[in-house]
Amino acid sequence: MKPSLWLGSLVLLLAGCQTAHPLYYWGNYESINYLSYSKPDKATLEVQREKLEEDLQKAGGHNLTANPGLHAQLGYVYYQLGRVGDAIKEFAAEKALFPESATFMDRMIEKAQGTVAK
Amino acid sequence: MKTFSCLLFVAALLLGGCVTVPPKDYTLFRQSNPHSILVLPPMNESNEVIAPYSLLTTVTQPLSELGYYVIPVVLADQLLKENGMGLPAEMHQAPLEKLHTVFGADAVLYITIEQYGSKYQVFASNTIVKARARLVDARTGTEIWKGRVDFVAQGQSGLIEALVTQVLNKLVDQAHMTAMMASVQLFTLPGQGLLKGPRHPEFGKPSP
Repeated sequence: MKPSLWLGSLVLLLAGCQTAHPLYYWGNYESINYLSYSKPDKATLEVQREKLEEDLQKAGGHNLTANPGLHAQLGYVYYQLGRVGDAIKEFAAEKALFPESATFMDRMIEKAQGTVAK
Repeated sequence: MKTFSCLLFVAALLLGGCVTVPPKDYTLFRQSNPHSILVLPPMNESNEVIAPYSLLTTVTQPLSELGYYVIPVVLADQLLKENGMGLPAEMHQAPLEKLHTVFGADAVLYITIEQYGSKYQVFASNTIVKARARLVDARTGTEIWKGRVDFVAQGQSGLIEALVTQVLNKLVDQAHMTAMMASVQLFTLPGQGLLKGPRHPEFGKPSP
């Protein structure tokens, strides 16, 4: 196939893509998760917090739903930073948005509340 | 990012080549009707230490966009580690009822990486991600889907490089990019991947 034909078919395929609406806003969630394993020194808690908060803001700005796991992961970052109240809020937000997460999020909320009680 | 996902999907389809395999039988899958999926950190048969976590951090987007709720992968990994399961091999041995009780997911996805990484040759480099996966109903233990992917991204094609340099501000390497495309192909290839899930507008409609 000639390069121009390849290009043509790629453009057609992409055009098709444009009409399929994604269900969620996807920002840094997966790449920051990857970085937290591959280069943990570059994905400090502060960096993670900043990137995930940015995602939430952008999702809101685009009027899109935050991707599954975003609130939960941000909550976990807050938890590790000692911001337990904020952590609990985010776990609750994940649960409200995705009731499928209720069992797990209740567990995380309990864990966070346990920290407060100590 | 939307365009990027799109590019990724198209690239996965183009690079994955034309697979002529008969469509899977989805009877058990439909019966199980999972809404949520717990993805355990993959087992690793490759020599790359990062491979399990590279692949683990590519599955949430394709599975979520298919209409499933994916248990947050990093949190799940942390919780399992805190409970004495340091390695994916140990996590894969965890009793299903226990996983169901703790995470509340309808199904558990077990992935094994067979090959991961780049092979450099004189004029080109190939990046390979090869994996197999099984999805198990967390309540009954029934295997409701299995699939495999053998994804080779050829350095010569130029497409990968274009994507890497344009989009990914150097935080993401080529092997991880290939893992992303492997994930998309593994889960979304029509007739081979998962059916559309409950959060997808086409959920329940007959698959092509």
